[in-house]
Amino acid sequence: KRRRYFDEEDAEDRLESLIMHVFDKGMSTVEADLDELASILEADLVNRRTKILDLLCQTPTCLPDRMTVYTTLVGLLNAKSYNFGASVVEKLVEHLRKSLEEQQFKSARHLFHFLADLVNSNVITPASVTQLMESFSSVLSEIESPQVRTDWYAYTVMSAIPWVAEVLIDKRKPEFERILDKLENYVRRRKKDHIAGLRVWSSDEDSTEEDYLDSLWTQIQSMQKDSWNSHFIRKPYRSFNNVLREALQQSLPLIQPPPHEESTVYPVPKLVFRLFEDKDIVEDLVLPSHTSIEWFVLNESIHNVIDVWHKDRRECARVLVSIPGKSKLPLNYILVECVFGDLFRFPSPHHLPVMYGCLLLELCRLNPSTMPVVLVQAVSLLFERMDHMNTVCINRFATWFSFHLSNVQFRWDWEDWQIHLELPADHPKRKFISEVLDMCIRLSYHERISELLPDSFSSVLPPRPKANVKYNKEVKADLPGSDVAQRFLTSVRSKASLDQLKSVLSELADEPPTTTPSEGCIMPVSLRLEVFLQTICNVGSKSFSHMFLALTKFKSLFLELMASENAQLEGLAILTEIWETNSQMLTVLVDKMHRIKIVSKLSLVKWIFHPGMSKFFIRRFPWDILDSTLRKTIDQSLQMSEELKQMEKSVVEKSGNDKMESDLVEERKMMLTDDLDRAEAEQKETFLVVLQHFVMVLTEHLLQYEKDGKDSATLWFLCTRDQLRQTLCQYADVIVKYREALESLLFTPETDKRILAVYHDFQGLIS
Amino acid sequence: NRDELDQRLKTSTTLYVGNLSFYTTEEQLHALFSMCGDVKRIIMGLDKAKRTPCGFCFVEHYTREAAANAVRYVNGMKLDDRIIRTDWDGGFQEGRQYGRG
Repeated sequence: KRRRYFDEEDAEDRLESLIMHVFDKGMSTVEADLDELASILEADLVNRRTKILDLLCQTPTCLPDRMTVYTTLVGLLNAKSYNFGASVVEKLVEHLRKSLEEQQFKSARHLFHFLADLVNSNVITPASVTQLMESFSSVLSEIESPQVRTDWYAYTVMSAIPWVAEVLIDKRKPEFERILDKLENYVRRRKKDHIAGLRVWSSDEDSTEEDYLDSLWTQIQSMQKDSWNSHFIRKPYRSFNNVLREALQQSLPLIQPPPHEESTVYPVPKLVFRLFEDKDIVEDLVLPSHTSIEWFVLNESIHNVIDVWHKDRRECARVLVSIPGKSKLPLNYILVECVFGDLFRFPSPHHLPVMYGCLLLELCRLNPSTMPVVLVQAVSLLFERMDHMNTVCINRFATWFSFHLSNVQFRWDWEDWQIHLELPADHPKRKFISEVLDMCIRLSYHERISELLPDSFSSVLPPRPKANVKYNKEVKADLPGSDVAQRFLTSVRSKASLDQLKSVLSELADEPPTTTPSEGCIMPVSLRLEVFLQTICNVGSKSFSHMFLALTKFKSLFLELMASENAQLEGLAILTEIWETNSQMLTVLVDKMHRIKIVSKLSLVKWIFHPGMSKFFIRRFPWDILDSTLRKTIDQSLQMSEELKQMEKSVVEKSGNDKMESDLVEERKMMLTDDLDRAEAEQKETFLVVLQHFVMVLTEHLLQYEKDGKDSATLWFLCTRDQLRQTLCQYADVIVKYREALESLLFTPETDKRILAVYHDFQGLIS
Repeated sequence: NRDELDQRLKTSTTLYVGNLSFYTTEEQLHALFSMCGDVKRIIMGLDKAKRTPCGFCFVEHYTREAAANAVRYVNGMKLDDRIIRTDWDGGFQEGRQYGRG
């Protein structure tokens, strides 16, 4: 019996592998593969109908990059069994309805396309496709709905057109033209408020960025002029015309879009990113025109491949370099443009930034003689236009570049950038170079980076990371606290008890700090706290592990000395001074102190926005810390509400069980609800305080520069403003709940219009 | 036993990292692995006799997803010009940091 079970499982695995890997082998043509597979599946339909059905209906969302291969396969099966064809269509419709209800917008779009494409393999009638498209287009006339909703429906219909236009214009011209009219009308009248907030480049002159729907509409129009031809679409169904023509067609039921609900989170709009022009192409090939439908089809398939294979960078790269039509295309350029477009996407890339870095390295491995050249060109082009680049993108670019360099022995023509070293220190290009070097040092070490750079780079090379320790073994008479510090250090080294350590520290009075800060510190601090932190950092300076060990060992002293918010702020100020040249240590240390609850979220936020910190705003570490704090706040509430949901589910399942247990569960639920309420209140407070500080520092800056009659658009202003926009947009789902408070307190008509513009960018993204 | 180990590997957030240069530091590893998600701790592998780094370490992330990303993306990348290897680990226990040089 057991044996049979295994046989069955093996057979199903084999089936799955056959279906999922059709066309993978590359030995035969896709047509031969499909023909064979259809026969195998037909023979198996009697025994494994459900399994085959499930597998086929997974392909639209699992392997969207091979859509036409699978619509052809369904066509062949439909030709053999009308009944089975009906089941496939029915199940796909069910999947689509479910995805729409569950707001799985990406899956829904893939399923929509798949269903529509079934017209090409003669599975469904052309009238079914126009009905499906009309039903989705009906959303476009909803006046009350947010534009993110209507945009998604418009995009879903429009992006299916390249695949189905040819057959629809032939068989259902009036309906198809009506749909086109409706789309055109929509594209023309929709608001464009979101564009400013999504741009990588701030200057119009070098901006080739275009709204995604505008761009697609232009491409559809050019396709129309070309008699609805599209060249890069693989059309395996064509080879089976004879068989498919004979099949009976299915009709789709009416699929109505679910009505809009307040809580729905629709995908955010996009801009199309362009980097290369024909003159940039060294190979003897031509880029598809940006206004051609080919450009869209190619980009769509590249994105689909990345979405499907992003967890397997090798396979991803392999599939990308074998994209259909590649021999006629400067594929390397197209891929690089696509990857950078994704990496710079606002508010955040679809996938982890490091994935794109790995993918580019894999592509270099596969095309070692051509790809690195294209990458060098891309870096140079991006660098040239750095003056107008959004500073958040500069940071992403620098992170990618240093990661890439660390994988290629840091080989780069640094001399090329020598001329830019004359630029003022707060120029974006200088910022980029020092950000890159800073990350390179983190991934390697100071000596190595400094040796490989030309001497002239010393002005941009960050200093060697070290602990800036004030007290050491010798007592300095002119340094307050020096004698106590020396005794404290000796006690720590000789493993004195916590009580003994405390008594050494208490030799220093717990005085409020003097009014003027000492040199190098951002604010006045208590001497006792300074002696303590300076010594601990000295002891822990050898490595992160040493520092964390000290943190754990002396946690009670930390808690005692940094009990109040003020003391926490002072402590953070002292740490900033100690680790000024080691922002990595500062970031990691502060994160740890927050996690083990030595410093609170609000203290962290107030520290980052302390006037003394503002000189660091053109660097990225304050924003990294801020972002990590906000992320943790959100994660915490999310985790709690997830737990609560689980608990409610288990209560429903277990209802009717003994009273004792259900009372206990009820009690735990109440406690968790309270915790969640607290966490959400804290989250709201954190976000409001962060945004308030942003508005405050930006307003002050603008007023000051106006008073001095200077141009306020400094790098500092750009970094801070871009970071505000990033924070608003990245956490839009959360922040949208605080809109009322924000609009009555922070972003009011009195707010400077340059700050208000950033808020409008956020509104444009969600409305 | 095997089942237990399998279970531990399936839920682990710890990776064994090998083929490191003896000079690679915890800070460099942190910089690389934190690209995949927050790092909880790094334990450097030490030579049993000399107590100096000897080419491996354990990296623990806060979440499973972060560790999975590190297996996907850091595995096979270069650090100090060496291609480093990552593998799931059942979880660090005191004593395991000592290896042969």
